[in-house]
Amino acid sequence: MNDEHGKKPKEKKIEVTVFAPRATEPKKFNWAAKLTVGAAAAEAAEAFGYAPGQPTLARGEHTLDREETLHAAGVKDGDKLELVDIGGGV
Amino acid sequence: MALLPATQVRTRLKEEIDAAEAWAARLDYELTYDEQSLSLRLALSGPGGDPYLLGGIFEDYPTLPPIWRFLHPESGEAIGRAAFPAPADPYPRGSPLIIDSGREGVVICAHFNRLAFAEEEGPHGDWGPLVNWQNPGASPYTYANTVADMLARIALETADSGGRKAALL
Repeated sequence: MNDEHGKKPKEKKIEVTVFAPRATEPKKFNWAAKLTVGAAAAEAAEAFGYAPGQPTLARGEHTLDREETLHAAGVKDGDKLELVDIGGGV
Repeated sequence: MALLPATQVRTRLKEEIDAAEAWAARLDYELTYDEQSLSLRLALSGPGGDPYLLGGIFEDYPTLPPIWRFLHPESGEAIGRAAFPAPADPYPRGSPLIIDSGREGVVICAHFNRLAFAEEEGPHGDWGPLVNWQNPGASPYTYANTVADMLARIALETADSGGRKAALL
């Protein structure tokens, strides 16, 4: 839906700092708040050089639901999150 | 007989341990790496603060996967089931990472644990030789090929576990 000036409203973006276990330095990402946690985590995982898997984002030890949007998962601009694989055991 | 000289393993581990120490510091875990014995220990907590101690041994890493097991949180001895966290019930991630199997009666069942392979009396003859550990193929199962990634996955399993596998004596 366009705004009063006939322009599409800007998509809300949030900047998130992601740490990966294998890297000593984090990376920053600008994601749309409506992006799912799983899609964001997959993008981060690829950026850190992970093979495809079951990545998600976590606040400390609390993993976020991969199906939720970043917004619904409570991710806010400036958040610092951990990347973790949540594939099952075998 | 070792496949790799210890010096080669130490060199390879140096970078990975740096990352593992950074990860542990961020999450406030106590990680101790012994370069001489090529081993590490990581103090973890289950729900309610129940203490766990993870031990890793890296002889021949990365040609072979590490040996991972939980140890008595105080003595550091391998005591089997009582040292291990039990999977949460219901389990949130497909199939549990820690199962009752293998020569010690319980095993961290992932490609990154030497004890999960049949060569080490683990449950997985279908994975072939130990040197295959970094080539698990496409699967929904967890995969990690750096020390820090392995620690992160095992820590997650401990943090939301369903208690201890057996009473700690």
